[in-house]
Amino acid sequence: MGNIVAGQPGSVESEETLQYLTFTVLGELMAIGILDVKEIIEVGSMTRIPMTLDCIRGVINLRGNVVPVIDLRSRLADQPSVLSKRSCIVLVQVKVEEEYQTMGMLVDMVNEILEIPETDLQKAPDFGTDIDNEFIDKMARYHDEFIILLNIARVFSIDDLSATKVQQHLALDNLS
Amino acid sequence: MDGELKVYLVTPFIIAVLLGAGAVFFDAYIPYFAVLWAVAGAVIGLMFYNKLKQISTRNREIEIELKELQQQSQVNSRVEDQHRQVWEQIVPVWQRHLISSRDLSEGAINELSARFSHLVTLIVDTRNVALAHQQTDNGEGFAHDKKMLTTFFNRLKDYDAATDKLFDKIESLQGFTNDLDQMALAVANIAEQTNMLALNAAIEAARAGDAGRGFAVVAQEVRELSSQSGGTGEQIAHKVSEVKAVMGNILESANKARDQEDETLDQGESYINEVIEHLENLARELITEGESLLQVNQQIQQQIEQVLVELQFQDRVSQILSQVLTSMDSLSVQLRQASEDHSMTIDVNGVLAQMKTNYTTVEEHRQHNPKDTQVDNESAAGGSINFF
Amino acid sequence: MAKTILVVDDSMSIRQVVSIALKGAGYDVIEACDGKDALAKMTGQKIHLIISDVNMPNMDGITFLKQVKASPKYKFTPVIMLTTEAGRDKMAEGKAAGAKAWVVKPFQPPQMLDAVAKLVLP
Repeated sequence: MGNIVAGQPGSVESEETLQYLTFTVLGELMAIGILDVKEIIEVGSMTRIPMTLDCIRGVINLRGNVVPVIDLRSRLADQPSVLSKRSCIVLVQVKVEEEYQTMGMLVDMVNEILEIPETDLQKAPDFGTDIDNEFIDKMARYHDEFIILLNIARVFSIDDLSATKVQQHLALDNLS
Repeated sequence: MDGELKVYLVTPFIIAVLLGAGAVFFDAYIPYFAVLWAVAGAVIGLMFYNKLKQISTRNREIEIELKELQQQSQVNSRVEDQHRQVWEQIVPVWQRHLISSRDLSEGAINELSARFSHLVTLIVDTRNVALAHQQTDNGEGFAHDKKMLTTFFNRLKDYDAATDKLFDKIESLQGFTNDLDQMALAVANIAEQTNMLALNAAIEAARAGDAGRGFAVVAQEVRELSSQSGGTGEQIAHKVSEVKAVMGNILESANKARDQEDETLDQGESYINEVIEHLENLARELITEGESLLQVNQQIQQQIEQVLVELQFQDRVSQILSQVLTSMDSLSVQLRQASEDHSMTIDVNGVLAQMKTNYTTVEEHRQHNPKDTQVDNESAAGGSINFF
Repeated sequence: MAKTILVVDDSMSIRQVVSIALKGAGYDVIEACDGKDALAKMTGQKIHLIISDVNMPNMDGITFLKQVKASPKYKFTPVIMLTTEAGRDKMAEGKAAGAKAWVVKPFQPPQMLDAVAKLVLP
């Protein structure tokens, strides 16, 4: 693994094999680059924040720091997660305005760490998935399965997430 | 007649002598004496005449008597002849009848005794067999059977109790399977946590770059171990649930079986008690019947034995008849001798005495002379025992 | 072991009665029909008691009794005379010849068994 270089997914040079953390949401196998992951924790007590969007599940206290957690299922498919024994929070480092910030991501289940060569990655298809294309960075073929590589920056877009429920309603009204 | 004749002879002689002597002494009176002598002679002659006349009459009478006597004697000898014939011809026939009746009764009674004694033997044998059976088959043997049945039944009960205990143990095992379930869950949890730890370790190792490579390998191994543990935990949980299901089934059927068994045992106990009671009653009846049969059997035996005792009369009758026959024989012999030799006479007293010496039984002595009370002193009564 | 008694009588019915009574009391019985027969049958046998008639053909009871008393082997064997003979003279003859008891027929079995029990050899 000598070639592993910390950096944004997709920004690495070709011919390289990178490590990915795979997890499951809505029965779909997804992954993010391992260097984006800070830690995986069990779901503990979480505090909901009023007036925030449904996809923001709440905040947790991580060793003294307040960390917001988004519900990935709600974010991707607008369905609130049902917590199970296997539900986990994947903590990721997100660069916000030149500063790295830790954010939590509620997933149905964490699977494993995979090494996927660069050659097995391809562009996201225009159709064929239940998820909005903007959240997909690339598709990886692993054996007979396809793994969705998430676009972390898009998932944790501040613009989207800082909207309030009122604003959301208004936006929806404008659309219609 | 002789005396009279002497008188007639002697009287004239004496008179003649007296007249002769008178004439000698008194010569002067000889003519007188001659006259007296003539008178006396005339008288005596007259007397003689009369006497002779008398005698001839008597002789005629005697002749007639003699003739009569001769006739009488002829009749007598004819009667005697007839008596002899009676004795010689009829008595042997009587004797033969006596002999034949003696032999008949002897034969018949011997046959009777033989049959009766055979009967007694049969009865005794039957009773001995019955007694032997009774000794083995009476209440004792039955009590033994009952004890065996009860023992067997108690064993069944013990077995039932043992299976009850077994089921209780199986039931307590169910509690253990719940513990096992908890433990399997704990294993699964630990595996989960270990998996997460390993993932985090791998993430840290990736961040550390080259420095974390060794650590990454370890983390990978730990992850694999944790996934194995998780699999094992799942298998354990699966097996435990299978065991639980099987145990549930066992307990369910065991409870059913136990209920049935209890019912069967209760029924069995009452059946066995009923059967034993029934058999006991039967056996008691049989024993009572057997005992009364044995009593009857014994009474019959005693009766027959008494009959045999009574049949002893035949021996005495036979002896008495034999004595009579012997006496008849000896009397016949004497008669024959007497008829051949007329000088012999039959000694009746001698015959009677001879008969008496030949008697053996008291009855014979008594019948010989019913008036004689001496008999009972001279001989012993039937059935008496004299020890020497 | 059962004791053996020799029964001598020319009358079969008497032999049967005596025999049944004795067997009933547990004795073994040998039967003979006169003195001669008895002497032949007792040879070599252990005899504990003899019951004999007096008037019998071939050999009468008194002669038989004398022969028994003259025999070295049987001179101590007790003899009971069982007979119709009731005369005192005959009885005296039997006593002189060595008889132990004189039973006049007809007898009753219990009395006979009493006599036998008193006299039988140990």
